[in-house]
Amino acid sequence: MIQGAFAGIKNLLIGLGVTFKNMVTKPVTVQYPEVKRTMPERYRGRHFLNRDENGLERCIGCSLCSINCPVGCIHVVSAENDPENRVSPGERYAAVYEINLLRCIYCGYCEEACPVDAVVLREHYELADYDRDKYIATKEDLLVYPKPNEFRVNILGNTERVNR
Amino acid sequence: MADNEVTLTIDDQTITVPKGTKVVDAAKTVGIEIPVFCYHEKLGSLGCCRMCLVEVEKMPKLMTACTMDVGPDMVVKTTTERVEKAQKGVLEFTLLNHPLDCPVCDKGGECPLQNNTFKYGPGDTRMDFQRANNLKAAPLSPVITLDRERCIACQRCTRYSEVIEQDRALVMLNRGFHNEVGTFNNEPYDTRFSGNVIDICPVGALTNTQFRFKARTWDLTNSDTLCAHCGCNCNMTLGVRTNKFMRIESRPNDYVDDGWICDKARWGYDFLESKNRIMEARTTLDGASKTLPVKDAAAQAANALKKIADEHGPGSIGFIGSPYGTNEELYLYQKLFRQQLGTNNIDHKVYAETPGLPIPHYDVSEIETSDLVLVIASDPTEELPILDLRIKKVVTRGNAKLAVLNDQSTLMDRYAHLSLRYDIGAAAQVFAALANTLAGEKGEVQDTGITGEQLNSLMDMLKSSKKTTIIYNPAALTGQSVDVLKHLLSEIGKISSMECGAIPAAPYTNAVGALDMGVLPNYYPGGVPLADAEAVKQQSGENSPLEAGLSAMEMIEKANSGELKALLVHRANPVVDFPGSKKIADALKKLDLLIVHDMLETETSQLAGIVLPSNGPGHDDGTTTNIGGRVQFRKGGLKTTNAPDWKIISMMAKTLGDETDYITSFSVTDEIAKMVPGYGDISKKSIKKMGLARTAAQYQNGTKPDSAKSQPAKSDGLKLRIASYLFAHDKILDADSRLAHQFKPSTVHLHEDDAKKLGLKNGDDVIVVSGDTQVRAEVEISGKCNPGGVVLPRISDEQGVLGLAGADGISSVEIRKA
Ligand code: SF4
Ligand code: SF4
Ligand code: SF4
Ligand code: SF4
Ligand code: FES
Repeated sequence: MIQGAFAGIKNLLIGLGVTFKNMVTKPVTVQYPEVKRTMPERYRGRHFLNRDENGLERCIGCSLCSINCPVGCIHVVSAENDPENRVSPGERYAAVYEINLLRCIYCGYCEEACPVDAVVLREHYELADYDRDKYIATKEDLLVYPKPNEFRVNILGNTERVNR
Repeated sequence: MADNEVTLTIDDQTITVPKGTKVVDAAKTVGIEIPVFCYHEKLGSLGCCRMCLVEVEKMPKLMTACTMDVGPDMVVKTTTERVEKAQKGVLEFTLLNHPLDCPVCDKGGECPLQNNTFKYGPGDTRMDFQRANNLKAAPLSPVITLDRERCIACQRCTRYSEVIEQDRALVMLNRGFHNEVGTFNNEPYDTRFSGNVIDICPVGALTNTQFRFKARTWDLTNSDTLCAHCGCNCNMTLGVRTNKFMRIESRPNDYVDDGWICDKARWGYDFLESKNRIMEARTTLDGASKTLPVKDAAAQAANALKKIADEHGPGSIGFIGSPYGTNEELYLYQKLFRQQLGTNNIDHKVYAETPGLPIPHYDVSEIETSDLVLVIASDPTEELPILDLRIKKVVTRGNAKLAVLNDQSTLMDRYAHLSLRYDIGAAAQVFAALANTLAGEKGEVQDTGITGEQLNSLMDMLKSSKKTTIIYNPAALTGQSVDVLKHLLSEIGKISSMECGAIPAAPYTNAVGALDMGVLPNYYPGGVPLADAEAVKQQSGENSPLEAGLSAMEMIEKANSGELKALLVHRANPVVDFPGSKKIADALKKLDLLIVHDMLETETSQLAGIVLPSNGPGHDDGTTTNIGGRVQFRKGGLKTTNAPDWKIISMMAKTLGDETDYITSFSVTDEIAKMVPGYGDISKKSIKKMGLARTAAQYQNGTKPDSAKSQPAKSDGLKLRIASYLFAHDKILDADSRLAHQFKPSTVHLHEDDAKKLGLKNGDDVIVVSGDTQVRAEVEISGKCNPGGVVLPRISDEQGVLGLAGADGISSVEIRKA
């Protein structure tokens, strides 16, 4: 009986130990939206289109992302580059590139399919808005080059169009 | 087992195939795939790529399956270790200098190199040196771009040029490492059939400039359709993406096109998105031009026609259809005019052709088994290009002989064993002479430009042939010469030692269908003549009009004299396409009501009181009948909000009390099957894959023309022959067309003697005059026709050559220095 009581107290103290330890450690929750979480590097949030070292668009408009997308939410219309006035380094570029972010299931297949590492899913997770139409991300929305975890409140909550 | 068959074993399957079959093809019959690059069944073997290596028992080395004929008791293995190793090796070698272009390559997704590498190739590359670089975008012609890096030197394209086109325009230049595809002196490769090399190139080396980098192949919605440019009705695929026209590809059907299409098919479809399209219905009846809903316009048109018919009698209205319309459109229009409006003033042409042939109507594929092809007054190269390839095929690679009987020289002459050129205007006399000789009477060939001896050699050819196909172009035969020709055909049909058949090769897409659908003033559908009142009533009902109608040209005349008050023109442009041109416009202006139902704005639509939009090929579904009498389905592809033609016509019929409801174009096809003799077997299902030959109408006018004399020219100028040119600058190939580089200047071909008399030399600017029409042209002294005539190819609408032509028969022209 007494043995039982001791065991109970011991277990209680072990349990409380966790409590006290957590009382003094930094909390995992953050004061969102005042504080924004830093996401792991490979988090699959909103898409972006990369540029290469010379500032040209990486995307060559090959539509491989689009055909690999399990929900078919990417629309690419390609065109031929004008050698004098290049958009991308190769012969072809994406004249239209649109992703329907509402349909997207954030699986990252598009990123995997891309032969030139153009489309990437980044850590940007703030995707709420009032207007459905804003969820068609166009080239202008995608070709921004965000620094990791640097959010600015704008379209879709987190990025600014920087290329115009 | 028959003598000409061989039994062999491929991968443990025993098969029996005809002698001479290649092992690749034999394997294909049992579903065994042997990968190939250079082999193509229409081009034959070459054996340069080594992709098709297989193991054959008792043969020490691997063999190329594409060059090896099957042998009795041969045992072939296609999946052994040795074969697999060889395939990997060949692919590794082929890919040595091949760029990693798949993501941007137009062939990606439908590329044999991609597929074979995926299936049979090594997974990795061992190459770590820099590959060779070459030109990425060499224009081979304004419409074909060659990526030299991607070429694997399989020589399919160059063999196509040599074997199929018989041109040797595209050749392999240089040797060894520098081996490359090109043309002599870097001339553009712009033949009539150049585009097919894009389809047969097993890699993305030869690309369609129009389609270059525009879309990925898997993104296209392809509709299996037909070309709507000429009477061959070649099968093709229309690639569409997001309702935009992307590209045309060939779609092999051996009964029709033998696997090829011409360049007009491949690049002549820019009109689908032309600025010149009629998109809305409009009327100018109450003053200023205003647009209105198609439905209202159709009702207004129908009511207006009815009103005029009621006031002035049914003879005061008329219908001019088009040999470019589908069977459904043509059928419904003639039904509307006959049953609802009570007139037989229905026609679609300005030449004299009647339904029915005294001998069988041959399918185009019958040419392959013929041993004599007789081409009469036809110029397949310019009028029906794919027929030209078929004739070349049997003449150069088969056993057939070719005889040509024409008033102008054509490119066919080069392949002809006998080529007779009669004087322009002497056709009837020559045909009569030939018929008489065949019948054992005396054939008079005086003043026709050909000699009795020549006639006899043609006779000998006919008599020694076992199977003859006669190809004639009724649109090039004036006056009564078509009748005489038909008499000649029946005489030829009497040669008992020979099977024979004819192909009435009018160049227009559905010329045969238009005859069959009864868009004629004196025949009901299926070639039932008005004279046979009983048959007409049985077929089309008691109230069918029986009074003979006016032909197209008669309607124009009556319009001029004021007797014809209203005319509906469907997909035709009489102002430019009918003989007389300017006079036609004047006559049409006198009408109380001109309704034009067309796809593109034309000189005629400008005069119309009511204009109805027609969607036309690429948009509307329908069936057409080709020159061989094969009925096929022409599918739309692009979507439009405008009602299809058949629906607009049925709206008009409904306005006037017709009750029939058509749901799709096939509802009309079903009615045609029921109502039109010869079309009984035609249905959605039966024509699905290869099309189906309809039964030809019965031949009616078996009278032997008695006085077949050459038609006298109206004055003693030079007799005019208007020739065709495939890439004429008209409404379809407009100034923005991709084929604009094929447009030609106006040229008049003169015989040396006449040129001397007139004091003209090559390159002189002249005016060709007839009446008050003048056509500018450049002189070319050539043996294109006999002395006393001129040949003037129709190269554009603006040129206005039809203004020189008389309403009937041959007209004569004067040539003046400009
Ligand atoms: S993440 Fe997945 S669902 Fe979203 S666009 Fe990419 S492939 Fe499509
Ligand atoms: S993002 Fe990548 S996969 Fe998608 S079209 Fe561009 S290059 Fe191709
Ligand atoms: S030709 Fe075929 S293998 Fe070569 S780049 Fe194009 S798609 Fe790829
Ligand atoms: S261009 Fe194409 S068809 Fe011609 S040789 Fe090269 S790979 Fe073969
Ligand atoms: S396919 Fe047999 S060698 Fe090329």
